[in-house]
Amino acid sequence: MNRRISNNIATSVFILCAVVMIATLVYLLGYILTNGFAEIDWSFLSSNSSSFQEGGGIKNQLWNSFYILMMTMLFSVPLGVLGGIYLAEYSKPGKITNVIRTSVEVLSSLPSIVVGMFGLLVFVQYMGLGYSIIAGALALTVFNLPVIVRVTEDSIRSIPLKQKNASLALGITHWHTVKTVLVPAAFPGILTGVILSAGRVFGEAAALLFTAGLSTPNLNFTNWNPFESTSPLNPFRSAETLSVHIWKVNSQGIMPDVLEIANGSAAVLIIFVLIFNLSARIIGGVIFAKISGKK
Amino acid sequence: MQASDLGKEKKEANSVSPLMDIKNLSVFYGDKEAVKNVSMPIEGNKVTAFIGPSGCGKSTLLRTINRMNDQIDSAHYKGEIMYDGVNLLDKKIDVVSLRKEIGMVFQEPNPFPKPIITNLTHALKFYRTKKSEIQGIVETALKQAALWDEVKNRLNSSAQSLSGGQQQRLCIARALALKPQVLLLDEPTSALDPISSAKVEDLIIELKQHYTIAIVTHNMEQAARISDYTTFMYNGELIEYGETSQLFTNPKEQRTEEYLTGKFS
Amino acid sequence: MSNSNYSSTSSSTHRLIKNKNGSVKRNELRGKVVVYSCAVLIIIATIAITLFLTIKGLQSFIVNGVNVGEFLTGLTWSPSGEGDVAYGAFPFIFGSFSVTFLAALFAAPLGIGSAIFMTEIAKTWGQKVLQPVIEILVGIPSVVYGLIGLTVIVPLIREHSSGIGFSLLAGMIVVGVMILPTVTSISADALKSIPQDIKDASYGLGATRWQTIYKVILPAAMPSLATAVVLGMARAFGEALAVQMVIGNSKALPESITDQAATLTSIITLSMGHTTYGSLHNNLLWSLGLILLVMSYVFIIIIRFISSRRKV
Ligand SMILES: Nc1ncnc2c1ncn2[C@@H]1O[C@H](COP(=O)(O)OP(=O)(O)OP(=O)(O)O)[C@@H](O)[C@H]1O
Ligand SMILES: [Mg+2]
Repeated sequence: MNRRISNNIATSVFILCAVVMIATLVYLLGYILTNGFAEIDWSFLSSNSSSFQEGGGIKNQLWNSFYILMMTMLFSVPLGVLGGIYLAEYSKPGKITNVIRTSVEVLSSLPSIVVGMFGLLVFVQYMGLGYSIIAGALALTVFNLPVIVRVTEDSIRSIPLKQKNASLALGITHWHTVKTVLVPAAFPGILTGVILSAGRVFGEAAALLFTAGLSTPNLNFTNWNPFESTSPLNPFRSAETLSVHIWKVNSQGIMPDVLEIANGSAAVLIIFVLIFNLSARIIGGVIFAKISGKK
Repeated sequence: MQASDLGKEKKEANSVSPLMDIKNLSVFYGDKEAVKNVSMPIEGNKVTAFIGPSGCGKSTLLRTINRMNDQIDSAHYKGEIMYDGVNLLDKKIDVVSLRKEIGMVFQEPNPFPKPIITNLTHALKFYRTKKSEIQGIVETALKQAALWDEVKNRLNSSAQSLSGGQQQRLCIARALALKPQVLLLDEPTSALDPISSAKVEDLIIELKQHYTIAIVTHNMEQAARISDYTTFMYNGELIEYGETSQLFTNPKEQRTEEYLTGKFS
Repeated sequence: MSNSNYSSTSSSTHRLIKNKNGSVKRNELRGKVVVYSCAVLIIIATIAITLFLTIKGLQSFIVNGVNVGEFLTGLTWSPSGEGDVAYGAFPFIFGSFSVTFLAALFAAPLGIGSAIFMTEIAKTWGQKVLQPVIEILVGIPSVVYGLIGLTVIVPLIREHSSGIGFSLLAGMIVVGVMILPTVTSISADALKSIPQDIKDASYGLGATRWQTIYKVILPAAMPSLATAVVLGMARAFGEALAVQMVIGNSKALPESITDQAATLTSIITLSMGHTTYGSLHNNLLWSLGLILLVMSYVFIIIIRFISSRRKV
């Protein structure tokens, strides 16, 4: 009955693994959320951060995170979708395709701090953008591009070939088929991937330290002229995001409530990341049901 | 060659050359020769059926005519398909215009997962058909495909809510909306139940008044019922081409007879 | 057959012959141009990153005459010191590798074990509930892991050791926990892709679940599981902020696992902002960055090598 015993031992070990893992992760999430939730109130969300006094908020950081996220998506989604279309539809097996595949692989495995260093060198210094929202968004574009390329390619490849044949056989060009048949059919997959990647971009900090910077000018939320230096919309000003804020208060903060601010910010960050994740799943499912026309 | 002989007879009889003339066509997938040196005419306003065992190259031949085979990287061909004074296999041929003029319907119904009406207008919009004309074209095409009565009240519901037979007729209507010269049908009824099949068959007989039709089928009775000419292919080769009545009742080749009597399949 | 009856249409203007200016042709061309330019842009971006970072990373050797051997093996790091300048990056290289390997040592068994639990033991529950939860955890930002490390793990180590808590061990635990969901999720995908019939064949022969896992499933999934672990290690090697927050960032080689240490990424994070562009110290940081870049290529090569042996 050796067999039975070793089987039982093994099963218990696997169960233990799972329990340990789940317990760890649940503990972590719970820790942040319970400690952080207590700190979140309206004044925390709506007031400026302070550099040495108690009671600073995260209004600007939150705004910056969303602004950079939006701009990153503005750059990376069109580029990434077109790159994915290239790989799924236009690439022929051969050297160039291999080079592009390798490129996507390289981009996706670059550590984000390295992406940040590249951003510092090229966007901040050579292009003269300085520590700015736009430099941060460009760096995050490098970081996000391979993700979008991959989801797009996968989503397009998963469309049955008969859909493409149907359109081509009607005398419709390849490009028009891509635009009107393949991309719409791949849309749920692409959208899900884009929202998921938004969560990743939203939480990214290392790539922003040297590109978007560690500080934010005093923003004037009544001034929406993007060319003025205190305007929240000015893309050329430096911008500390929420994730960067968490890092910064912990490593450089001298205010007495560092821990409270960090916990509160982390809870807000996690809540948004969870919202992105869950909505990606829900929206993906809903659109999929709608498009496939099964009512 | 029987095929060109037959073409000549035809020409003398009607003093019209065939609409399409396939000459010494060979199609390869890499090194594999899937269609071997086939020559035959396709007569205008007639139904030409292609029969033969699975894998003998029927679909390949059909897909070569409207160059859908260009989609497959390994596919290449030799020979000519003359049509309206041009060789369809020529590099200079604009395959997009070609496919508009020579429509194709596939074995498995493949409507777009969009509203019924959009299935028909998809190509019309691409070709910038006037808005005022679209409604009429859609109605005519659906009527020709004997689908109008069944869908006229739900043009905006999803094409996937249709039955398999309705979907296949929608695919035919979608091709007809472009007013093609030729329709290539690759086993259009094999995925359908007998009643839907019968409807599609009636439709094909109806359509040959205005269109030239080439149809691949595994169903011998179907070929006999609806076609004017039949081609029997075996292992990539054209074994026999002739008028359907003659080929079925009095085949010239022994292998044709063996196939028709079910000695092999 | 003669085509004389078609002679009215001269073949150069035939409607089926390609026409360079046709709207169809232009539509197709426009699409191709757009798509190909994006593809080219992706290649250019990759080459630019590699090239810029390589050139910049070599500056310290070329311009400042730093000795490569000394840089890679030296033990003292004081690049902007008043007196003797020393640029031994070995402690950081050592720190990066030890964090990576220790994290993998922690995350690989736990992750693969959990993946087996999810795919072989509690199938429905594992795949309907656990897998989505774990995929969500993959997306938790690394600063959050760093923060938890700082507030939970560092004090814990402080209590139970002679050190101050900030340590190699803390870095390893934080990074290990951070890559755990990644390793689990990829491993679970790999295990799921093993065809059911080879499992059934084994059970059919009367094998127990453990025998099936050990003799059939693990060998078949091995390359994919190895890929999962290497991907996790690549992530661990490149992780910056979470490690920097807990590892202590001491410039000397740690003597024990509860000693403070530093990694390539943590030193870059810490010093990049405080050095003058073009100075020796600054150039040396770019050389550390070059090591990270080279390592991410190395990880790609390892993964390709493993995938080339994949059977499933
Ligand atoms: N994409 C392809 N690549 C390589 N070989 C192919 C491809 N498509 C078809 N073939 C081969 O070419 C030959 C002819 O195939 P084809 O599909 O034309 O046969 P068919 O007569 O239509 O058969 P069926 O009646 O089963 O549809 C077969 O041997 C098939 O294996
Ligand atoms: Mg076929």
